[in-house]
Amino acid sequence: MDDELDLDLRRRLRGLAEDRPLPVDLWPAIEARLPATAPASPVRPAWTWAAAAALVMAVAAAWLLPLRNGPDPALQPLVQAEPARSLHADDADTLLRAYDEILAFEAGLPALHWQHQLGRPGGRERLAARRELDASLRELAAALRIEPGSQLLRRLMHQTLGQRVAISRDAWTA
Amino acid sequence: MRQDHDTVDRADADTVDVRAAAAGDIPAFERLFRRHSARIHGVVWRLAGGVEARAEDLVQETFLRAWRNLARFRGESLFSTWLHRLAVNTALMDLRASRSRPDTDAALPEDLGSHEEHPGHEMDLQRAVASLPPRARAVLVLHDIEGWQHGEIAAELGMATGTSKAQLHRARQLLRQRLEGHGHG
Repeated sequence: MDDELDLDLRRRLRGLAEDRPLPVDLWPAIEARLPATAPASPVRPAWTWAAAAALVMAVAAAWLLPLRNGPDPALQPLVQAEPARSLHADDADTLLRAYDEILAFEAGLPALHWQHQLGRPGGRERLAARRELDASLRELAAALRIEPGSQLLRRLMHQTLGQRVAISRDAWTA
Repeated sequence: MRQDHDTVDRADADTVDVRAAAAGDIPAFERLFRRHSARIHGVVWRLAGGVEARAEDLVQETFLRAWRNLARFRGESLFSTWLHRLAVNTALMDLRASRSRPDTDAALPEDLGSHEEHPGHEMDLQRAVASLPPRARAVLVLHDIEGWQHGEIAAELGMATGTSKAQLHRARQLLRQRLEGHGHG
């Protein structure tokens, strides 16, 4: 009974979806309230989007994979092989160089290195975190090249690079 | 077929006018208002429970918000869809605000009898919809009249999908009771 009633009711309700001409012309009132200037431009510095994305990704990565505090002495060779030293610097050029070094370092890894992660504990999460962090780093690097003076960008780049290094390090030793 | 052409023509005209209006062309924005005001008025009037004065405020507010945000409209959907969503969002914000205003929903819809296109039977239905509690009415209007999905409604109203379904069930029950009370349904 309910179904039948509902069908009929629903059909009638759909029939109410009609346009409804305004009984009075509201345009003069609207026009009077329009600001004299053009609508606000959506153009924002590219880095604001990158910064937002990086913040989200950094949080996501931290959630997926809690990072270690401080270098593990057993990993010293790897940490040195990566640009960890650069992470103490905070000028844009150094950060961008560190990013390039990470890419170069990764390019030198055996092709199957990351694929092997799939079979290791936490490997899937590490791969997901790496993918997200890389996307963030690409955006941040692009943004930093445009706005090298941005403190926020430098801080985010610094932080994201640190997380990226930690993931590489964990993957190497897992 | 003619209707399809009209829709396409209208969408094309919207595209041109949106671009011009986003650059500050007020006559272009007026054309957008003229083309879409009846549809926007229809949806906000239903969400406002048929209270005409509030519906007119909501139409104004919707178009003012549209003006402010035109430059952000990227053409990923039809302008009419974007504007419709903006109108619903404006009406729902008002609904949330009205919960803190005393007796706002005690106001009876004053003009439900003024539209001759809904004689008797459907007029009772409109009255019954208008008399629903605001949130239940919003869910019913969006789902059963405007054709939204529960996920969309839940997101817009800031509730769980299950809550939206429960509200709809409740709204339909109340609606049936009120229609039966009037000898229809």
